[in-house]
Amino acid sequence: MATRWLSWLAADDLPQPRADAAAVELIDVRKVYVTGAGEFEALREVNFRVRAGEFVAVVGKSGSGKSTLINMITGIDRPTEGEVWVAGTPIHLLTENQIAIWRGRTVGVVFQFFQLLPTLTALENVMLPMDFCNVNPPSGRSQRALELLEMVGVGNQADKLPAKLSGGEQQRVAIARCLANDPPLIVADEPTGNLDTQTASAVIDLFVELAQKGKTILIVTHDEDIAQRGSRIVVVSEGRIVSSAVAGEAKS
Amino acid sequence: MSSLLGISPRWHKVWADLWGNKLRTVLVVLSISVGVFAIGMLYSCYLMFERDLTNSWRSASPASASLYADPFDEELVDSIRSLRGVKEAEGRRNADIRVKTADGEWRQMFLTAIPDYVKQKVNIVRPQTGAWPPGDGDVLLERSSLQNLGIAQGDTILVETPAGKKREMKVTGVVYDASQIPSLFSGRYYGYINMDTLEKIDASRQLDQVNFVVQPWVLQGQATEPIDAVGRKAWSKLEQGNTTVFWLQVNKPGEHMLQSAINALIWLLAAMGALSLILGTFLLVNTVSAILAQQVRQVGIMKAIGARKGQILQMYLTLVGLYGILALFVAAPLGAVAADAVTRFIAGVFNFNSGGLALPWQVIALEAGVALLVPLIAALWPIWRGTGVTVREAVSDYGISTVEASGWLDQRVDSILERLKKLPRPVLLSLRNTFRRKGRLILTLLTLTLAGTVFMAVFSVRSSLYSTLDEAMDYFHYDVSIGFIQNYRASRIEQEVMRVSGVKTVEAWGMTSGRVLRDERKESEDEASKNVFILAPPIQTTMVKPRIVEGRWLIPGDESALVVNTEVVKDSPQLKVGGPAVIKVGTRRLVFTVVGVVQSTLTGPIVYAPYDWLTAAVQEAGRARSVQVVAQSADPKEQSVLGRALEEHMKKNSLRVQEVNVIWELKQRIRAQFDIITTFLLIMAVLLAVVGALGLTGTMGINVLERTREIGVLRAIGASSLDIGKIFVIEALCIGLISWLAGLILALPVAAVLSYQVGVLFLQNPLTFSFSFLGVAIWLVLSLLLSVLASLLPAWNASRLSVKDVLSYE
Repeated sequence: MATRWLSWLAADDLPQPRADAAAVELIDVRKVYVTGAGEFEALREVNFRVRAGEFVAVVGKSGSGKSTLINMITGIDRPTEGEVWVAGTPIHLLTENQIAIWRGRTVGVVFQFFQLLPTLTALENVMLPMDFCNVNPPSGRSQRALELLEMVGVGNQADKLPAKLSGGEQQRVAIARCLANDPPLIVADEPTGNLDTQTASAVIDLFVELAQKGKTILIVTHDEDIAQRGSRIVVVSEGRIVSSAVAGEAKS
Repeated sequence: MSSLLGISPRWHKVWADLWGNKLRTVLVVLSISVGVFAIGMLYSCYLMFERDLTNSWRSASPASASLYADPFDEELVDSIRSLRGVKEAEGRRNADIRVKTADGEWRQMFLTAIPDYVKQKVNIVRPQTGAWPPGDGDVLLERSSLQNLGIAQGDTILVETPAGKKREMKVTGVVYDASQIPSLFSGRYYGYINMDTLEKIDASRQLDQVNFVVQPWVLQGQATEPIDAVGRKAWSKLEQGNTTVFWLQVNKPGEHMLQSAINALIWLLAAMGALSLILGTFLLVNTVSAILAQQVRQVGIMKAIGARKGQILQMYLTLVGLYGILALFVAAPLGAVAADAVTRFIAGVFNFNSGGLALPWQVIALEAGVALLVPLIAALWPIWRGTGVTVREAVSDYGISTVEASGWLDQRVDSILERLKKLPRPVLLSLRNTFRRKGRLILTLLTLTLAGTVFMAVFSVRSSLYSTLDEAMDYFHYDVSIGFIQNYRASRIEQEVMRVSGVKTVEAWGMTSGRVLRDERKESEDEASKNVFILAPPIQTTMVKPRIVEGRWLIPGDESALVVNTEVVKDSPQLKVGGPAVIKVGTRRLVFTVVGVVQSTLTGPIVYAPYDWLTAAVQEAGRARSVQVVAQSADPKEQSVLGRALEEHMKKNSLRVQEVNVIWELKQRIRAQFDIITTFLLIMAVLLAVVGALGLTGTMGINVLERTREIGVLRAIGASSLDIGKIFVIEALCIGLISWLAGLILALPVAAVLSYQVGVLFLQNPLTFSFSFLGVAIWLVLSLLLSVLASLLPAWNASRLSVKDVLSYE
């Protein structure tokens, strides 16, 4: 009985992804929020495509819609209209549970405020996605988490609780966590917004390194220097993508 | 660490939530424990009572019925034994004597002589310590009498025989008589002697009581009617032997005589136990909701990194399950210890043998079920709702929580606060904060209000019990009552009483007992009612204040008039105002006309007849067996002194006293019995108050946690530690006051219902309702005190937070 109940909780098969798909593709995406002041259109007919292995920086002013755009791609939010395809999966059609499973395996998310679970050590925070998505055998998870922590340079902090780590260290742990299930896509929303310049630069180095290893990276930032480290810069303004160009061209 | 122990991170998070916040865990575990403890303890008590009462009762081989009569010989017992339907019969001799207690008071003692102690078959008296059987001139005391008398085994007691002679008797042992109502309840002491000792107390060697057990085929379940039928045959048998029978006492088969009182107590406590469980559950729902609200972002993050709702649901349900298991470990042993203590206490009070602590599987199963299932079921909805949060909602919900001020309650609160503009801003903030989380506030208020309602209602039950007692005592408007061994001339008794200083007025009353018959025919005796007391006061008595239900009271000129109380009508419904009433007194059938029905108050079945007519009808004209005295002083102590003085005076003047009752002493004794009920109810009410206090502490703790950032802002704009602490204390006081007020409103109807139930359960009659304002005042003080105490720790925690702490708070 208990086993059946548990399997019900775990059930939610994902649709098979399209083999020839782009890493990210948004088609005519519109997002409207209903607020106390009336309707607010955060995204207006956005069409956007990212190729696998690209490092895309999404820039724009506060309230321009860049975080909403990112949330569409991670499945954190759903479009009011339009389609969102990530790694060949139509995530606008998935249920909440399907999205959770899909996200755990496909997307690594990094937040501005690190968002580590305060009661777990750095190592456990990194192990957690593997645990939820049942990726890697349980006996090997700890080793993998440690390797990831070492890769981002905080291997020696593995047994510390987040409160004992500096902001930069916490963000490194968050990056290690987003890599835990080896997702093809990494999405970071203002990952350096809460860090000093030096630490921010080191964190961006990590993303560059990851892009070089074949990961697709999407970073939201309003720091132009950071944006220039990417391969492409997408500018969002008033809910629209107003420009999309390779990094050097965008600056000019 | 988790990896070393082989626990996966998510289960480690569950463990960290449990262990990392010890105050919260303690609060939740305690709130579950209170209900588990109460339910477990009561069920355990119930099972132990059932076992011990039954064992004690059965081991005494209790009589199905007993007959009390004028002295008769052993042959009559043999003839009853040979009656169809009688399995066993045994005779005994009783004597009402007076005994001097250790503190010099004279009290009533019921001495029983048993022909053969070794071959007892009915109502078996068993030795506890010392001599067995009693030697010549010695007495064995019943164990429930020993402590109250202040006499130990080996002491010599001074007794006064019915003839007024003083004798010394040595207490050589202690016995246990399960068939007697314990001294605490009956107000009399029990002693056991051999037949030879009867002479020493001026009694003949004849018997005056026969106990019999009916054949099993006579019994029809727990019905008393078949036993009653056999009892009436035995009654006739005794009368055929020219013996006047006074009383037939029929026992409910297979049930201890106090079983119904104990069951009533258990059921009442079970209701309170269930209430503490419900309140504990409210508290749990509040806390679990708060944990989820506090961890909303963590839920969101877990979802962001791939957790499904089902997985998160499992984690939080496991957390609640762990709380339940911890609560079981706390509550089960405490419940067992408390059940043992309560059973021992009750066994002492009701005089049965406690078989010691037993923890049957049913108790453990019930406790485990309550500890695990109730919290899981209660927490399911808040967990389901809390884990349903989307990642976007979770990660965007940070900083200072917003106040929804759209509902009617908010508008009402706002408009009230508008009028309180002169209050300092921090106080206004506290008041507004009180209504911020309405769901939480409602559950907290519900817990505290229900606790307060029951607390105040219990005080009202106590006050109603006392009121009922006062009313019953006021019914008879005298201070001292003296019963005599035999009838004396009424004028002589009154004359002697008036000679004692301190006496205001006196009335000699006729007093006897009989049974109401359906009509005058001989065969109607087979359907006679239970025994009724017949009181015959002078027609113009000032010492009875009857509450007339129907008809009228006795008036001058009445002859065969009879006033019956409602208890008599219950048993003999054929009695109607204006109709006849046939009462068998001794061997006589007296025919009365019912002129009125009066309310019965704790007195049992009583009928009132005119003194002159009754005494003439029973051939005792102008004579009386009891006298009622009103004292000049209203001071209880002086009335006690008067009682002693009257007793001494009567004895000096050769009037043989059987019993002296000082009414206020009687009242005290009954109050002590009532206090057993109220003590138990109060213990449960205090348990409820504890749940209430836990609820408020939890709520305040959650409020502090939730407003950590807000506290930081207050700090940043110059609020001192005292200011911040005060905000939370005032908020708690506000909740305390609202709950007190709501409790007060609810307490009135709840107290009325509870008083009614307690009256019906324990006294077979509703109580005279009296609302206790003392309880209201105590709960006001208590709820304010609890509010301050409940908020002190959270307030202190809040006041210690620095701006830096709170801005880095997640």
